[in-house]
Amino acid sequence: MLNVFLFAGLPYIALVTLVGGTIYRYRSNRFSYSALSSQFLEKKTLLWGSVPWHLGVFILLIGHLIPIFLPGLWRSLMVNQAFLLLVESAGIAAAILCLFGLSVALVRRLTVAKVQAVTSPMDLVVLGLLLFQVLLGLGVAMAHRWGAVWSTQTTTPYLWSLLLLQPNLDLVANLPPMVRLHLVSAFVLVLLVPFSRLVHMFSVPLAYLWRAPQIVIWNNPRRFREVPVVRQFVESRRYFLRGAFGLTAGGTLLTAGVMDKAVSFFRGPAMSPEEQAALLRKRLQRLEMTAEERELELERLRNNYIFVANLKELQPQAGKYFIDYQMRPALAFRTEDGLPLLISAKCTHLGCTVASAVDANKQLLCPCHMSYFDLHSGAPSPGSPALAPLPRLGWALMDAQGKLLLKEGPHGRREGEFNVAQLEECGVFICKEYEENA
Amino acid sequence: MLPAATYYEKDDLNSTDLHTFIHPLQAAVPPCWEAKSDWQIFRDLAQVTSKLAEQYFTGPVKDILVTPLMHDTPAEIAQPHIRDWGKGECEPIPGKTMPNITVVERDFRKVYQKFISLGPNFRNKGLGIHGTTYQVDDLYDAYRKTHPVEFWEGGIYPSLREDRDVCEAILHFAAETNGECAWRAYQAESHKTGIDHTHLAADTRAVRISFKDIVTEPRRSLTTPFWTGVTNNGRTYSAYCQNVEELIPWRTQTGRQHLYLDHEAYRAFGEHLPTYKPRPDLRTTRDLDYTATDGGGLVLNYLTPHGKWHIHSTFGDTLRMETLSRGIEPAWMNDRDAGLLGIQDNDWVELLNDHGTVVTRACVSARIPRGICFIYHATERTVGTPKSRLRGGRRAGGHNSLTRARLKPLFMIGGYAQFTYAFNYWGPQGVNRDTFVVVRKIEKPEW
Amino acid sequence: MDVRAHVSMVFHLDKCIGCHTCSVACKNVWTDSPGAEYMWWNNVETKPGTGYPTRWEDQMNYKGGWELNKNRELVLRSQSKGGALAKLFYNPRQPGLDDYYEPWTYRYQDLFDAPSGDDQPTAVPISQITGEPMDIEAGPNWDDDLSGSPIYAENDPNLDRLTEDERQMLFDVESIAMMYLPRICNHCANPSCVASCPSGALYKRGEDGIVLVNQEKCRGWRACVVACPYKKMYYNWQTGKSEKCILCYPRVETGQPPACFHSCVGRIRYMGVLLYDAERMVDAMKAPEASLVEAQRNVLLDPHDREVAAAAEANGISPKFIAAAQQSPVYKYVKEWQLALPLHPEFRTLPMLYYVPPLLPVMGRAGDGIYEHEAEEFFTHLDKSRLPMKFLASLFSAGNLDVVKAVMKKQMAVRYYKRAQDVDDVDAAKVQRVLREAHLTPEQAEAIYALTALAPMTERYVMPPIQREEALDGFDMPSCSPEMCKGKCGLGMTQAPQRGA
Repeated sequence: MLNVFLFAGLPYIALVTLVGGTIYRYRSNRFSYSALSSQFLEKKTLLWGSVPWHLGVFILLIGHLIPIFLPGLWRSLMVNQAFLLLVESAGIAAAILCLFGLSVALVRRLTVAKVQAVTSPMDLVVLGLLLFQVLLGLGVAMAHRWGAVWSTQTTTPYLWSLLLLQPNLDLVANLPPMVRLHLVSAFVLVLLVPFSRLVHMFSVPLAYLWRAPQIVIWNNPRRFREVPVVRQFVESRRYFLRGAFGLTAGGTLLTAGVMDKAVSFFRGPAMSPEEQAALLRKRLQRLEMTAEERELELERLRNNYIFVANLKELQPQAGKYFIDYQMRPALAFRTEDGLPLLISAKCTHLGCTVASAVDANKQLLCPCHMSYFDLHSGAPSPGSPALAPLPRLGWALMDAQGKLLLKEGPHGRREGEFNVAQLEECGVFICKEYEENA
Repeated sequence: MLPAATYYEKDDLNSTDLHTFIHPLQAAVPPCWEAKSDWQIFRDLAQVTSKLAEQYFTGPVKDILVTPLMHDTPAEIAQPHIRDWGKGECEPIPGKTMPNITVVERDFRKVYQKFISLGPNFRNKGLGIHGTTYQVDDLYDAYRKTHPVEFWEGGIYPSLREDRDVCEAILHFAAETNGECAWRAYQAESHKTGIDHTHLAADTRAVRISFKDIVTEPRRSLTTPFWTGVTNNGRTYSAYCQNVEELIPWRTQTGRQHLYLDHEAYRAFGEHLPTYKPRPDLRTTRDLDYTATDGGGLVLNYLTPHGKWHIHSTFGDTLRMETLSRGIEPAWMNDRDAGLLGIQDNDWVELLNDHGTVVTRACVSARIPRGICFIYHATERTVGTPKSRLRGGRRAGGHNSLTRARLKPLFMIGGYAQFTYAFNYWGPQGVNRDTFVVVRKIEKPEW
Repeated sequence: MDVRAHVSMVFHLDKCIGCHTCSVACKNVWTDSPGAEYMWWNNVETKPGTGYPTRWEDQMNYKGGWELNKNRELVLRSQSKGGALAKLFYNPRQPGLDDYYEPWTYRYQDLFDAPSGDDQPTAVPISQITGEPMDIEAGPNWDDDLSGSPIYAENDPNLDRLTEDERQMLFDVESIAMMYLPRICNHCANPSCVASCPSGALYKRGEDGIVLVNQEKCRGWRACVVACPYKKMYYNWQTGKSEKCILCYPRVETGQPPACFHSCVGRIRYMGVLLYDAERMVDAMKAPEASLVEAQRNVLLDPHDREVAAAAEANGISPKFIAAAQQSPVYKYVKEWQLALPLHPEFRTLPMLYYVPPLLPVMGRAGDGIYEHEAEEFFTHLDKSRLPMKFLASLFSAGNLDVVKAVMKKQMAVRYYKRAQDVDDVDAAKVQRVLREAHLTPEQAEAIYALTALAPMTERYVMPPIQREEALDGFDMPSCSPEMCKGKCGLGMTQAPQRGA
């Protein structure tokens, strides 16, 4: 059981955490990505810690990644006895380099007061674990020699089986305990990457090799047609040559830096100038809409009556939309008796706007979740998701001179006189007083 | 010693000679712990005094008050020569050959009430300085109607109970912040000179600057006869403009600028003309009579100039300023002098003479002439002050531990024109504290 | 012609009193958080002195700025492209804390907690980094007013050009002289910090030329700290990011001068827009040392020239910026009057902060016990002035004495001219001659006097507010408009800065 967890469960947990964690951290707290150098506080000892470690681990990483990703090539190289010897001794030398660097770094972290001020518990955990891992690796190299060869038959296929989602634990079942521990410890290290300063290894700035020396950023939209990185003070040809050289030389570095690219892939592409312009336009439109809304709101704050429509324009079958005092949509109809009927168009279920057409059953339909409301009472029909009725709105009729003829409250109470002849010329208004009473 | 509120913990006013702005201090935070503003401390003391006085006094008592011969009074021409009535050189006549003597009535039971009230003398006698007085009775009466008041024994007085009340009262009755007062003061000045000066205050006669005004924005003080500059229409303050432009006499014996001082004491001290005087030597100052000058020390002339970073000890003791200087107020000395003692820049040194010791660091600079060392004013000893072995392992002192106050006799001649006493203008005062010290290097300071 | 607008500065050193109000204003606003205690984006140095960080001008040690290689190509002194990657883990030239100073505070609590006794307690100095008691041995202004002159002033790298006698004279108490040198980021037109940044976090804003660090892109590789020859890039040891003077861009965007400018007591600071031709810069940067000042002046364009204004507009520079460039006090000092010079032009970064060198110490000289103030022979005596011309030339003209002398003559001529007016004791013919020798007209002398001595804030800081649409942050979050980014913490960051794990 433990075996399954350590060699099938843990690697996947580690891998998922690594990918998910680094991306999540990059997106949510990009500021925290830093090499967190402490050279500023202490310089002399750092030289003997940082440089040997980084050099050593770089060699070791290559020595571990090539047999994993290019096992065929590796095997064909290892056939040569001299080459094998060379690789093994280079590995041991690199491990000793690492060991030296890590020990210096650990001692420095524990003894130099200024460095202690910037040392977190995680730093010590990572340092300790790395030290342990390198020691294990060195032990494996010493106790079980020619790992460069046997690993291609054991750990490489095991790791591939992991990658292909068909973990084959038999491949590692019979390996010596030290090798198995080395593997587990590696998984733990991978697991810790997103939570520690180790994330800085994804920040290796390879892009520097070919970028133009100066960076100028314009925010000015008038310049969007221009390339954001503009100036190149020195001849570009020379930089092309240098860049090409840098590419070749940095080819090996790329292996490690590939993750950097992967991360920017997940970040999504940068917006083109056109897209940015479109975004700005959209934002402007949104602002305009807000302004319009504010205007309506102000109108409602200031006026006791708001014009809805001329009565003669209203129809019994198709309602006219308008905005009520609460800035909600509402519908205006004309009933058979020639008087207006105003009803809220905001569905009492989830607030969609009710459609304006009246169906054969004299019902209004909310298209979102199929609630039917009776036009006159506003009550939802049985089975509708909406339970409360659409409220009726009060209205007032005024003639062309602005004289108030007739008012009706939301509950149907009428005030005033009218004669039918006048109706045709009347305008329909909503009244603030009904809003306040309601 | 009582803890006083700092400038961010109280309402107060602040202004400086030649700098024509009235600064408000406002309580941004309440004072720490038990600290109170100076006004409140004195007010509370007055209250306790009054309470105790109820037990010990049954009524007012008479008291004798002796006041010096004052500037801007007839007494300023009372003594053309130095005569001591105590030695029988002249008759003792108060106000002429000796200080004025007045009998005053004191009622200690009323100290508190009087303290918090702006009293009737203020209203009846008017305000002024430099021999120019203006009346404020009508302003006083009007002020009483619009500001907090105190009632006691049938009287109604403007209140001085809170800090803010005091600030308002000062602003309201000072010619610098009340245009009407300035105008009246010029009226009085015109009466003295026979020339009409009121045009200087005519344009600003309606100006009233209240505490709220200066809190809102910096306000300049008005042109008044109590200062000698003209600040109208945004003009920069420059001393003696009024004397030159308005033909107002200088406030000297002759009404002109004096270069030669004919008083017998000045002649006797050789200070009747402003000429170069060599610095006093060790025999004159006698500050090293009891201090061993041998044993690896160097005797240097010692000065305490004003610092670049602070006004006395104020503002210099903040972390920012300590960081921008050297974290301590060092003793500056010449590089070759320092070389004689094997002192390098930033080494610890001990300065001592008969008066005290200072332990600080050396600041070695070619800028300092040989034979001299100085420490900027650094009164506080709160940070980084090591102990002194000479003081028996107790804390070493500040810059003034090495100096002593010597009164300058020439400031005390009195009764002779511009040399007559006036508060904060002319009177007994220390001379620059030029002295001598022994400087020694110390290897390791003790904390 | 590729016309760019640049917010540029002039510091008039004759007016600097060394009060450090600028430094404190800056410190209180920008650098008072943990990790930044030691940073002084604005500092004031006493010259001669070693400055902050110690001997920052010594590029043999720090390797800042640009240099011409054998093929007369402009290359960074600090690193090649590949070398930059090799130096990520350890940068041999990076100044450490000791080159600046260890920030300290005092254990103030001891004053309250001391047991009762017959002696006064004292607050001992402790390190702001470790919290342990420490010996204060350096500060950001340690050599103030020639403090410790045998150690600091005498090791000023600019004295290297002086003869032994000249050095000796400079430190005799009778002839000793000093000046103040306030420094902020120069916001160079050819910044070596930007070019050195492996992460591409440093950039120059196109609209106003302000050089900024994108804090979210910075990975703390510290190449910029080394590459900046003025050592105005600082590494925040707490957040692991580099920080620098941002020219108070939130203030500049609204047309206000930066905090250090606003608070300047001596009114030594001037701010205005310069127009320059980015195409001409390539060659100007490669000029031989002696003609660097001239070459850099030639990059600047006359904003009154209609063709220039049209090209500027075509390049997206707003009309208000062009109008401001036409009134720029900086243009007057730098180009029209040629009074203001770049600090160490030999670093080849084209600094956009210019200095008017101080004239004061040359006024009087003691000789044979007589103090001469009659400057009849002043122009011939320039060589013997208290602050040696070679010293000033080392600071402001890459060693070219003629450039500095020309400036001194102009300043002196203005004084003669005004003295003739105010005191009326200089012969009119002599004033004419002096003005002619200094290549000045009376009108120019009057204008120089007015801008130097009388100019109110509105004339010293001629800055239009930036166009709203230009003020959006140019960081890689798709431009964060003020409406969208309310509640964000500013400076291009969306969260409060916190040290990573």
